[in-house]
Amino acid sequence: MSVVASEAEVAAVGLRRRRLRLLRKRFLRRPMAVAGLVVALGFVVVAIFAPLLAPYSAGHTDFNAILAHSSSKHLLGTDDLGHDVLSRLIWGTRASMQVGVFSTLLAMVVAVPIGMLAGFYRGWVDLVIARLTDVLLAFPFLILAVGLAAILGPSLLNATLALGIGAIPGFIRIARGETLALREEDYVPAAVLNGANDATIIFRHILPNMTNTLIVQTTLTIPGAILGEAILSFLGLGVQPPQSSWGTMLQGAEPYLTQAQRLSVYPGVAIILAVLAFNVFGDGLRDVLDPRTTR
Amino acid sequence: MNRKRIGAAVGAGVAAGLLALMISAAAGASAKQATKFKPGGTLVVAMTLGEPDALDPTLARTFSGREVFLTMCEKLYDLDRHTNIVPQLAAALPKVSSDKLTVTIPLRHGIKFNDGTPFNANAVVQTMNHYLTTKGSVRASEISTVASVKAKGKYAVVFHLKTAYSPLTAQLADRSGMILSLKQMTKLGANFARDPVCVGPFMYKNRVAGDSITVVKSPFYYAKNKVHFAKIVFKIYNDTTAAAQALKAGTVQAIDAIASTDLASIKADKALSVTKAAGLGYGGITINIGNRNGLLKLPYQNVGTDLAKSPKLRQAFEMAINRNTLNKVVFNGTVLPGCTPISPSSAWFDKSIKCTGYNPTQAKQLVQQSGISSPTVNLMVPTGTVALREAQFIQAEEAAVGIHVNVQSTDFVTSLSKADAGTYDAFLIGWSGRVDPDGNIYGFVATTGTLNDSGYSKNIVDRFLSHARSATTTKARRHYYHAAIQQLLNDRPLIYLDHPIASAGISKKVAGVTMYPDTLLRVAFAGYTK
Amino acid sequence: MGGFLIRKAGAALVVLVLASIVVFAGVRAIPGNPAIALGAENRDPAVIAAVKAKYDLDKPLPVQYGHWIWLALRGDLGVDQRDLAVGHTIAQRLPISLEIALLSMLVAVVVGIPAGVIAAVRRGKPSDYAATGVALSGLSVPHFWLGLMLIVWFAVDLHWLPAGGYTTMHHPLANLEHMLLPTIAIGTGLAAVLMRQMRSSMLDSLGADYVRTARAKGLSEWSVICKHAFRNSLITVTTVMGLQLGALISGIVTIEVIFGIPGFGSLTIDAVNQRDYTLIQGVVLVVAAGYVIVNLLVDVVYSLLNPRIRAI
Repeated sequence: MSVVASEAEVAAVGLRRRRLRLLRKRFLRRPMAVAGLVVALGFVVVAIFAPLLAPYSAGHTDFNAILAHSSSKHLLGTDDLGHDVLSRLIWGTRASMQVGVFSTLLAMVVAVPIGMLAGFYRGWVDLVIARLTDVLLAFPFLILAVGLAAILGPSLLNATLALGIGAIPGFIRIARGETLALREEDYVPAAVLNGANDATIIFRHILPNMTNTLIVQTTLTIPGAILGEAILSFLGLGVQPPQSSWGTMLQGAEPYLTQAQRLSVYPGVAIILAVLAFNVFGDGLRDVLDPRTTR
Repeated sequence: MNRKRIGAAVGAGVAAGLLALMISAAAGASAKQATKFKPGGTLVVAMTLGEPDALDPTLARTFSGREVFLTMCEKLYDLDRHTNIVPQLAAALPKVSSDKLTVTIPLRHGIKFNDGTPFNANAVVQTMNHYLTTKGSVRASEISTVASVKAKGKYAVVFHLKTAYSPLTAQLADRSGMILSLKQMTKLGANFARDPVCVGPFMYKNRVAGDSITVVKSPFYYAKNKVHFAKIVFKIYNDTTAAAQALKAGTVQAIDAIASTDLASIKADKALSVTKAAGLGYGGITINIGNRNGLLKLPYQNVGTDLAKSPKLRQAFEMAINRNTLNKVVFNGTVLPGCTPISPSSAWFDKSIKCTGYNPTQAKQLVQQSGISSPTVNLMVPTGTVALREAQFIQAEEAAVGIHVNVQSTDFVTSLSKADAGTYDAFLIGWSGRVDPDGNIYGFVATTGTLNDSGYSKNIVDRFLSHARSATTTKARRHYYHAAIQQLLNDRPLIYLDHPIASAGISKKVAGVTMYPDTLLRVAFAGYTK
Repeated sequence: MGGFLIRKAGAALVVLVLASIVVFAGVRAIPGNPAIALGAENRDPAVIAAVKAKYDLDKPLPVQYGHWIWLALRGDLGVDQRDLAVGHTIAQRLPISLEIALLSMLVAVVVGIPAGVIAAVRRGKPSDYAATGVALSGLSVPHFWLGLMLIVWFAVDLHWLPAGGYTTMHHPLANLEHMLLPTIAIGTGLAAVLMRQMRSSMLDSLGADYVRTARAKGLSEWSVICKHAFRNSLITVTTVMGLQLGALISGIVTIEVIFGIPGFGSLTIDAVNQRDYTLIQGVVLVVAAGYVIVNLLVDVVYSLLNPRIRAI
C-alpha cells in the first residue's frame, strides 16, 4: 500500500512541477502582467524597507522650509508642515500597503472558512450565512468605515478592520461557489469511503483546489483596499496625521490646491500606479490560471 | 495800483480760496459719510466655524448660531465696538439696588415682535421664566443667580437675585437677553426652533439642515430705514478653502472667518476687503493637575503626572515656548501673543501683569531642579491642520529643553469628553471668549467651575473670583481679577499662549459690515453700495 | 415567478430587520457621552441630564429600539440636534444625491457600453488594446483624486466651471454646470467597469453557435452585433449596477464632500462628525433600506432578462 502511494505521490509532484513550468511560460508571454508584478513587488519592497529608503524620519519637520519646491535637500519639496514629501511618500507606501494587504488577508482568513461551510453543508447553514452576508452587504464599506471610526475612533487599525469587513462578502461568495462545485468532484466520495471526516474533506481536499481562485481574488481585492484606505484617510476616518499614508497626504494637500498642486499629484500618481499594477497582475494571473484561455 | 489795494485783493483771494476749500472739504466729507445703499438684494454669508445648532435661544450653544441671531433676535443689551455694554431692547443700563440683590431694567416703547405682537415687560418676564425653568435650558446656568423676574408696569422689569452678580448685564448682552415672542412660545413650545420669532431687523424664513439658513427683512422692525438687504442667506461651509474660493468667485459676498492659509490670497484680491478684530478669546494649553475622576467630582487630587506634580516643570514648559515664533511660524502672524486669559482688545485687559518670557536656558535649569529625569508630556490635540502644526512646534521647542512631548491627535468631540473625564495630561485648546472677564476665568479655575478640566482648586483664587462677581464697581473688580490672574500665572493650571485675531472677508460691493471684538460678523445693517 | 418574488422579498425583509438592529446597536456603541457631543461649549451636568431624557437615552435598550422602529415605520425619524425633523432633512437632501447617481450612471453607460462593444468587435486590434488600457486606467484612478484634479484644471486654472457647490433644478443650466465635474469623476470609474463587462459578455455571445447561424442566414454583421449588444447591455448594466452599488454610494459620499454639494452623502459624514445620533440612525437606516430594495429590484430585473436564474 505504501509503495503504491509513494509512486502516486512522485507522479503527483512531477505533474505539479510540469504544471508550474507551463504556468510560468504562459505568464511570461504576457508583458503587461509581468510589468504589473514587478511594480507591485516594488511597492511591497519599498513598504518593507521604508526606514532604510526614506531620507528623513516620518515626523521630521523643517519649519523654515514650508511648501518648498524640489531642491537638493528635498527631492520632491516639502508640504505645509515642513515634511519632506519624498519621505512621506515612502512612509506612506508602508501604511497604505499595510492596510491594503492586511485587510485583504483578514477578509480571506475570516470569510473563506465561512463560505466553505455554506457551500459544503448547504441547507439552513447556507441560508443563515447568506442572510448575514446580505446584512453586511447592506452597508457600503464607506458607511461601515464611518460607523467604525465613530465607535472605535479613526486609526490605521480601524481602516484595516473596516476594509476587511467590507471585503468579506466577496470572499464568502467565491469560497461558497467553489465549494459547491468542488464537492461534486470524484475524490470527495472516495475520501468519504476512506473514512475521512468533514474537516479533512474540506481542508485537505477542497481547499487546496480552490487556491488558484483565491489567489486571483486576493490579488484583485488588494487594489480596492488600497483605494479604500486612500478614501478613508482622506476623509479623516483612517490613518491619522502626523502618521503618513497616501490618503492623509491627499487630505493635507487639499487646502493647497491653488498654491501647490504638486502636493496632490505625487500621492495620486502613487495610488494609480499601485492599483494599476495589482489590477494588471491579477488580470494576467487570472488569464494564466484559466484553462479556457489558449495562450 | 497802490499797495493797500493789492493787499486787499490778495487777502480777498486767499479768503475766497480758503472758503472754497472748506466748502469742498465739507461736501466731500459729508459725501463720504452718507454711503449710498442700494435697497434690496440678497447677501450670502459663508459660515466656516461650524453649523448653528437649534435656532432656539433657550437651547443654543454654538458660536455660529449667535451670528444668525444677530439678524433676527435682538437682546436687552448689546456691545459697542469697544466692548462696552449698551442698551438694545432695554431703554437704559440697569439700576442696581444698594443691597445688590435687585436689578431694575427699563424697556423701550413701541417695539413689535416679528409676528406683529407687542414687545413689553410681560414678554420679558415670560422669556426669563422660560429660560429658567425649561428642562434642558442652556441659559439656566448662565442666569442661575436670578431668583425671580417681575414686571414693573408695562415697560420695566425687576430681577431679584439670590446673590450679588455683576456679570448679569453681560449675560443679558448675549443669548440670555434675547426676548422671545410670547405668542410663538405658546404656539410652538419645545419646537420653537422650527420657526423662531423675536424682535429683529430680519425674520426667520427657512432652513436646510447642514446647508443654509435664510432670513428676510422684517416689516415689523422699529428701525426699518436702517435695513437695506431684502434677504440674507447663511451658507454652511465645512471647507475653508472652498469658502475662500466662493468669495473670490462671487458666489458668497462675505466669510465670517478666513483661515490663515487663505488670508494671503484674499488680501491680494482687489475686489475683496478684509476686516480684522482682535477677539476676546485665547489659545492655550490646559494642564491636568487635579482632575482624577472627572469634572466636578470633588475634591480634586493631584493626578501625579510629571507636569502635575512639579510646578517648576510647568514653569520650564512655559519658558521653552517662544510665543513670537509661534505666531510667525504656526499662525502666519494672525494672532496676538499673550499670557493671560484676557485679550488686549477687552476693556478689562490688565497691562500691569508681567508675562513669563521665553528663556530656554533657565527652562533647562528648572528641568534639572524639578528632579524628574526625562520628563514626558502627552499633549492631546483636537484634529485640525493648524492645531497639529502648533502641537508639532511645541513638541520641537520642548525637546530643546529636555521635555519629551507626545502629540495625540484626537477627534474634537472625543477630546472634550476626555478632558471632562480627566483622562488626559495636557490639552491644546482655546476659548472663544466672553465680554465679562468672569466668562473667561471662573468656569475654568474656580473649584466649582463647570469647565474646570484642569481640576485646579485653590481657596484664595475662589475667593478672589467670587468677590469679583459680587463687586459692583469696575475698579474693585479689576483689583480682584488682577490678584486672581497673578496667582494663576504662578500655579499654571493653564498656560495662555495667544489671542486670535479674527479676519472676515467681504466683497467690496457691500458696505456696512462690521466686526466687534466678540468676532461675530454683523451684517444686519449692511447693504450693496450704489 | 410569483414564488421567486415572494422568496426574494422575504429574504430582503429579514435583511432589513437585521440591518436596523445593527444600525441601532452601532449608534449606541459610539463612545463620547452623546450629551457632551450635543453640548458644544456648555457641559453643565443639569443640562446633560436633560439632554439624556430628551433623547430617550435613559430607557432600556429594547424599549428605545421598539420606539424608534415604530415611529420610523410611520415616517417619523425623530429630530436632530438642530431640532429639525430628520425625515424632512433626508427628503430635502436625497434628491440631490439621486441626481448625481443618475447622471453618473448616464455618463458611465454612454461611454462604457459603446466602448465595450467596439473593443469586443475589434478584438485583438489596436483599438481593443487602447480601449482596454484606458478602461484599466479608469479603474485605477481614485475618483476623489480625479475630482480634485478636475477642480484644479477646469475650475481653478481655466475658470470654465464652478469649483463646487450646488444650484437647484430651478436653474437647469447652472445646475448642470455644478453637476458636470462631479459626475465625470464618479462616472469614469463606472464606465471602466461597464466597458470590461460589456466586452467580455459580447465576446461570449458573439462566438456562440446561434450567432454563426444568424450570420449564415444572411443577416448583416451589423444587425447581429446591434441585437446582441442591446440585450447584453441590459444584462451587463443590471449586473454591474447591482455589484457596484456600494462603490457608487461611496463615490457619491466622497465627491459630495470634495465638491461641497449638500446632498445625502455629505449629510452622512456631517452627522457622524457631529455625533448627531438621531440623524446618524435615520441616515444609515435609509441607506441600508435603499440598498436592500435596489438589490431586490436588480434581482427581479435580472431574472426577467435571464430566466435561468429563477431556479436559484
